Amino acid sequence: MKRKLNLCKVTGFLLLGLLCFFSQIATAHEASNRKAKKTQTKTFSQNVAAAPGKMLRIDGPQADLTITAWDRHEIVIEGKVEVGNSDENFLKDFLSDTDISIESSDDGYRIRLDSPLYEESRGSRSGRFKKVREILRSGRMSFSFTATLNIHVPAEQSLEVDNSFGDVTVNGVRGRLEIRNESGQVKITGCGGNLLLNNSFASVTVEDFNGPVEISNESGSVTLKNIGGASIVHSSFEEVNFMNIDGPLTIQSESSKIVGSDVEGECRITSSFQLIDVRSVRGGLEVRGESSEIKAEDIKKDVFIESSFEPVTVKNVGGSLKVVSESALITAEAIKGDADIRSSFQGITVSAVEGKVKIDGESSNVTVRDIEGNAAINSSFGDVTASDVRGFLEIKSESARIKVMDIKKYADIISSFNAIEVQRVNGDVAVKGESSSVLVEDAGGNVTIDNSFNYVILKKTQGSITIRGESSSVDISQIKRLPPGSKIDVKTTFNPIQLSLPQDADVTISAFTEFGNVRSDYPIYIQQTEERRIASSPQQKGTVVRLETSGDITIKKGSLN
Amino acid sequence: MKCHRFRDYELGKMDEEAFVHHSRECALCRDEGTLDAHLKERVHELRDPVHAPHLWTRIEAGLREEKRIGNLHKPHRSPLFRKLFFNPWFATAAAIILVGVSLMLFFSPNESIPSKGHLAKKVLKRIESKEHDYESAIEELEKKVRPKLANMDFEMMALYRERLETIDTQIERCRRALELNPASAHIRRYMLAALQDKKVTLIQIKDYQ
Amino acid sequence: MDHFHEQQVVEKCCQGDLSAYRMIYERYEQPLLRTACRVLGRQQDAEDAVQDTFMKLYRGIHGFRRGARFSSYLFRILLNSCTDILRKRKRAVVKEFDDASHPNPPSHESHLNLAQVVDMLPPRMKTCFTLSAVEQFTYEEIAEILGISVGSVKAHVHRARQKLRTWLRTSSAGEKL
Repeated sequence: MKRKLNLCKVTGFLLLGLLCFFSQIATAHEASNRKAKKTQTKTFSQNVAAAPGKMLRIDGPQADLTITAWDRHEIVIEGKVEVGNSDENFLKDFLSDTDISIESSDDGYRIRLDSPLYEESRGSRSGRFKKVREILRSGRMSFSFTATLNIHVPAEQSLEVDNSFGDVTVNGVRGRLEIRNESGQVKITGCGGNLLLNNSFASVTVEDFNGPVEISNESGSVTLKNIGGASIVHSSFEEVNFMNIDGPLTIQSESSKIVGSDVEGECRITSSFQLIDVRSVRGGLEVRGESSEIKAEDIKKDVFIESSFEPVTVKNVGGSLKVVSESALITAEAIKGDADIRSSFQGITVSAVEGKVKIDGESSNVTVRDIEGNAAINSSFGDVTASDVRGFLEIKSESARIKVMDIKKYADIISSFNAIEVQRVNGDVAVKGESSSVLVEDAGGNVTIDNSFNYVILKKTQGSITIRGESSSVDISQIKRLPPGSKIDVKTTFNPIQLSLPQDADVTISAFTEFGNVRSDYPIYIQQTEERRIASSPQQKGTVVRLETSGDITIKKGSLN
Repeated sequence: MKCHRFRDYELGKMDEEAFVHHSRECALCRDEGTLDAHLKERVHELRDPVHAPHLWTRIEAGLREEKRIGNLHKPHRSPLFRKLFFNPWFATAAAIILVGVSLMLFFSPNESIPSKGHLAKKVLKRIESKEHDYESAIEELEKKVRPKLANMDFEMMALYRERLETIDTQIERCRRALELNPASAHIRRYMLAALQDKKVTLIQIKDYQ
Repeated sequence: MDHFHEQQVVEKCCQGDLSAYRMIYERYEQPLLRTACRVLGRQQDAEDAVQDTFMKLYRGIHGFRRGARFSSYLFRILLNSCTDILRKRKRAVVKEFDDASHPNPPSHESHLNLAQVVDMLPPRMKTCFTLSAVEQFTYEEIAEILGISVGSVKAHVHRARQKLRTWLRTSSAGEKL
């Protein structure tokens, strides 16, 4: 027991010893840290009378700049420089070599924060501040420098600012502004005149600016709000937001998300790989977005979009719409002018167009509806659906399933290898299908069909019928009307022809078959030659009906219409 | 209208003999074939020689200059070096270290860089160490990502290369500024942001499908 | 230059023998210049791209895997140089972007010659077609040069030929067939 107690005591002392040892280390470490950094500050205040029409240039190396307009005719500069390091003498020497200088020239003033750091960062070979600069260059210390300049200027002052690694804020200045900054935020509010701004790697915000702006921000976001003139933005990789631009807007960007609304003039946007979302443009809109999802809504004039691979959605366009795309899903709705759309491999849907529609969609499913003008569709391998077209409809397709309804004028369709369905066409219907099943129902004009290897069904026709089929069965029924001078001319091979004529139709029939039979509800004479069987009406009157196949032919008197 | 067989033939899904046999019966394919033959004949227009009589002189001068400044690419690193750096265990260890350091920095108190002002020595050391860790992770990722970048399609490769070059420019700019102002919180913040950006971009390339 | 001979020339390049680079230049001058002209559209830029290619070749020759196809390696460097030039050109053009002239391709190409129509093809399609039909690279070589799959190369070449045949059909030259 005694031995156990001794062991506990020893362990306890050991632990205590270790605790003291580590706390000493921590304290020493903390103390050394506290001792390490000293800071010293120097403040400045200078003023100079403002001269109208002169430029004020500000060179602030690594300084936070705040420039504010006021109603006095003078320029006042208040600055603070803070430096930090363990060597207080060095800091003292540094600050004694630091000062604000104001140089005047013919066209204005130049304000500079003169310091050894400024000289050294410029790579100046002058002998100024030699001793301090040598120490700076040696890199032997964890030196730090911060500077703040607050400058008050008359509201009409023009400014030229050159800065880096500091934030720049300008309020209320209405002269010409030229700002170059790097790696610091820039904020311009309530200013006017015009603005030329160059920044990088930090955000730029311009609000309530009453004049034109031109902004370049590399890898930094840009926000524009309430701009009273033309706006030009160059940016990359970060978001661009805009709202309420009272003039034309141009954004040239790379891989930036672009979102905004309310542009008074023309709007031109170029970007890639990120969303572009634009609404309410009172002029025209031009968007080039490689692999960008694009949304455009409420555009008063013409819209042009060039894109690839990502969806494009356009709504409410006051002018025409043109979309040139690759492998992009396209949706366009409510277009007052014409719509011209080119894409591939993804769906194209166009609706409520008051002008003409032209679509080129390779391997795209195409849907058009509610079109005031004509519609021309070129596609392949994707379904085509067209409805409610008040002009004519032309479809050139390949291996596409076609469905067409409610066409006011004529319908002209070419396709292959898939079903073609046409319903309710006021004018003529022409269909060229290769190995397509063809169904035409309710055609107001003449119907012309060229097909092979699949059936042809016609219902409710009102004009002449011409069918050329190769190995296509043909079934014609419920004919609404056979106008005077119309004809029915059907030629096919290896498959039957079935024709149901109106009860009261007057027809002259000629039917030819190589291997089949001819059955008719109408009186016919049948002749058998070596090659074929010929059936013909005894008298020539009414609609001429000519049917030719190598299969059976059936002619019925249908029910009354 | 086209016959899909011509496309199959062009894409190599149909052999020549079968296509020739088919085109005897298909007027569309015969027409395409004739146009294709005509196109092949006309391709010689695109082989007109380009006259650049002084180009070799310029190239030779450039090569001589490269030779003079000794820019011949260094030979391959020793197998041991390569073994080490291409060793997945080494890469895993580097990743674990980075994750560990990141977690430690995340959970340790008072570790965020102040937005303004001066960095205390301790904080500066930690930040420099964080930068160093980022640089190591970036180095490892760059090696992994090089073949991936080469196999990307053209536009993506160009975009990522531009992004990386832009970030490298910013890193270089920050480094130069830090040579004279090493404990500036503002510059350190932008430097770390750029390193983080580069790491994220390299991971995006690595994960690109 | 056959494959074996080419490997010997590459070995000499690794030793810094400038006459070996001359041999490579003489062998590949026209294909390089033609391809660069097609991609960049200007001879001056094409010459710069070829010059840059040889500089990069000199600096990176030790990175060339022996036994691999040298032509693919060389053309890959060329196309990267072309990308750099196009990127720089895009930055320069940024300053002019508010110029009203945004040319859209003419809707009727029948009055153009073959070279002009090829220039209007989308960039990737144009490059694949040029390397295949003009410079006679195989699909595998083109895939290696561009860093894409063989299937993609075939699809691009097929679509390029399809567009050119359509042009031939509709142009006056095609009508004379």
